[in-house]
Order: sequence, then C-alpha cells, then structure tokens
Amino acid sequence: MKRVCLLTGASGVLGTAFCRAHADRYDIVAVYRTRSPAVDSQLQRAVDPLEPGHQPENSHPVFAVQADLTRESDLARVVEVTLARFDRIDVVIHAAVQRTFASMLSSDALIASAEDQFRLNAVVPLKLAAIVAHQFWLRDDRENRAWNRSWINVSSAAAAQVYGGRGQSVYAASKAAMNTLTRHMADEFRAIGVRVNAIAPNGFPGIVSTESVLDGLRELDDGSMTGKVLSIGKAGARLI
Amino acid sequence: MTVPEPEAVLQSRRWWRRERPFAHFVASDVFSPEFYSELEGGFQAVLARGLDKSFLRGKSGYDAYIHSFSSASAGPLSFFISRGWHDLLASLAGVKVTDDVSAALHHHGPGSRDGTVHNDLNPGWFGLSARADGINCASSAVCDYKHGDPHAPGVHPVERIRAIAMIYFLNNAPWKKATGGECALYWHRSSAAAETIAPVNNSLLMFECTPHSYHRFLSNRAGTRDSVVLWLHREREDAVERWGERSIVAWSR
Repeated sequence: MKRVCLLTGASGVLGTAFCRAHADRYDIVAVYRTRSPAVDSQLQRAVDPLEPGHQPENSHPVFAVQADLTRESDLARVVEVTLARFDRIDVVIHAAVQRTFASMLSSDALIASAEDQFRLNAVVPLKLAAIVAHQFWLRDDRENRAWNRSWINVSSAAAAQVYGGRGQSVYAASKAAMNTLTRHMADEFRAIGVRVNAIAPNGFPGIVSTESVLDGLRELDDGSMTGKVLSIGKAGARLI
Repeated sequence: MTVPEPEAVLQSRRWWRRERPFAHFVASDVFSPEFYSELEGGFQAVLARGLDKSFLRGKSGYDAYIHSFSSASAGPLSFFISRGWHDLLASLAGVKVTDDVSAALHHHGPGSRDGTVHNDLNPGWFGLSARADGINCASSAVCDYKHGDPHAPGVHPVERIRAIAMIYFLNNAPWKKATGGECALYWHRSSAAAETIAPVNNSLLMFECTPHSYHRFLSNRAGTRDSVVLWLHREREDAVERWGERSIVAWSR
C-alpha cells in the first residue's frame, strides 16, 4: 500500500522532483501556493501530442491543493482535505520555503521580509504539525509506529554555516530555528510514535544534485532515526 | 521548401492539458531548436518588410499588427497551416473540425493595450482557397472573414465557427514578469485572471473555443511581443447544436 504524503512547497524544485520520482510510492497531497506543480494531478495531465491517448505517467497523479500556509484556516484545510481523501497521513514533508537574500545594511528588503521568512520556515511547521497531530496522529501511537510515520523539515546547509556575502542572514537564522524545532518536535512526538527529522542540503541543483536530496528524503522516511538533521553536501550525506 | 510533418520537428512530446479555468493545453520547447530558428527567421523576414507594408493594425480592443497567412503562404511558417499541424491540433483537442483555417502573425509594439476579455466563439467565413493538402485558408481576396462579404465574383462564402484557438510564441526577448504580454485566462468575463500564460519563446497555448473560454491579451509593458495565432473551425450547425444560437458571438460591423 502506498504511503500517504502531505507535501508542502510542491511546485518548487524539490517538491516537483519528489512528485515525479515518488508518485508511484506515495499518494501525494501536493500543496502549492500560486502555480500548481508541473506534474500529473487532477488539475493537469501530460499528453503526447502525437499519441493523445497514451501517457503511462498519468497512472500516478498527485492530488494538488492550493493553500496559503501562512493562513491558519488554510493549514487546517489541507489537513482535512488530506484525511478526507486518503484517511491517513504517513509522512509530512515541509518543503515550502520563504527566502529573501539581501544585505542587512544596504537594503530594506531583508527587514521587510524577516517575519515572513520566520513564519513560513519555522512557525508554519510548528502549527501544521500540531494540527496533523490533533486531527490524526494522537489517535493511536502504536499504529503510528507500525506505519513508521514521520515528519521531515527541509532545512538548509546555511543553518549551520555562514556563507558570507550572500545576504542569507535571516534565511539562515530561520532554518537554524527550524533545526532546533525539529529536535524539540522529535522529543515530544516520540510519545505518539512519530519520528521527526530534517534534511539540510547545500545548494541544489548545483553544489549537490536534486537526486541526492531525494535520496536523503527516502533515507529519513524509510529509516528509524528521529531528532536528526541529515546534512547533504559535496562530501555526501551525514546525520548531525 | 517541403513543409515538414509534425513528428519530424516536434521537440517536446510532453504537453499539458489543464482544466482550470477552462480546458486548455500548454507546451514549452515545442519544436526542435533548428526548426524554431527557421520559424523565427521567417517571422523576422516578414517584419523586415515593414509594419506598414506587411501588417494591418488590429481594431476594437486589440492593437496588434497582424499579417494574415493565405493558402499561397510558403516558407517555414506555412507549417502552421499544414495538414499535419491541423490534424494534430484537432486530434489533441478531440474536436471535429473542418479544413478551414485562419492564421496570422501578430506583432505587439511595446506598451500595447490590454485586450478585452472574450471567448473566441465567433463566426469565420470562407470561400474556396485551398492548399494542395486540402487546408482552406481564410483569404481577404476571396471574402471578408468576419461577415462573409464576397470580394471576388462567383464566390459563395460559407460560415464556420471558431473551434480551436492556438497561440505560439516566438521572436521575443527572454521573458520576465515585468515584461508582460501574457495571455490571461478567466473563469468568466468579469472575474480576476485565474491563470496567465507567459509569452516564452517556443511555447504555445491551445484551447477549444466554447462559451466559457474567456481570455485576453495583457499589455506588454516592455519590449515587443510576437506570436503566431490560428483558429481551426467547425460546422455552424455543430456549434448551434452544442451551445445554442445565442452563444455564438457575432462580429460588430
């Protein structure tokens, strides 16, 4: 049976790649804000202009849901929609990101964006996790363990290292907050049988490949670790 | 020059059918780079003859410069009025169409005005002006496309209804949001835009013309915006049976 994955940031590079690579393994609720992800869904399907009736990839469409995750009502709605459609949630991947790179001293953009960056990168996963837990995961910790249910935050290498001159201060701070939140969530969610981890890739695609980040997500979802941050860098992957 | 078959020049075999706000198809990297260059060269050759000589200015809420194809059109751009392309679009949309095609190059100068929201469910009149492959192009030398007034002796124009609209983008600078020039799609005539299709080179938008296929051109705030626009047509009776007489939007004189 396919695992049910609630994926935020589904139209981003990682979200789209995850849907393309793993729609045969997961029933994916693909949450997007503005543009629906460029994958097969109830909103769109791939067609071959020369053979309109034949397109095998359409056999695993994702279920696309538009939502503004900074709105509390939308957070509750995506959880309700996921449970209404699939009856359960086995893994949540929070890949939605707010990112503004700008100087502290020579730009107003950074200050103006600071609260939005912290909101989506660190506060939204907290709120969404609480809703998922209250609406579903609190029902039966044994079932959660049996299904190896988990939560994965998509963090960044910038959370642990200063890459100077790139204007990443607030973004990096919000991802560092996400890492700390991950470890505290793991501590609390251990009691309900849900594992919580984060993945912290360096820049992708580029410094690391998108495929290596997808491999890391699989490792975190398939494994038994909790409270860990999986760093993905040039030298490979390591848990920290 | 022999017009190629679609399978010889298509690059992307992965087009998207989207359902909102109405069923439409989008595709990027439509043609091979080599064929795209030929199409772009063809467009530039027409532009080089001068807007005042090769193009007519659009009217009533659409201020593009328009260069219409005819059955005598040759060169790489005539691919768009070929049998192969006609049949591919009709098959993909699943619409029973006639052999009648209206096609044109559209050039928007910088700062062209927003178009009005419309659905393209309009009449188109045709005399007999067929190519060797049977595709019958609208021709102002034969009759007036919008009203059917004959322009030559012995012509007996027939009325069709637009069935499929296609817009293919080419010869544009790299698109940025500030550039504008998108095609916006709407739920209904007075709704906000539900979707915008950017004029990215070698991409296209296609949809069946229905009472609900509301769309319009959005101003190109920077730079020019070039495209090939075409319509396939259906029997009038077919449209009337499906949507009723009142759904067909007659042209004003």
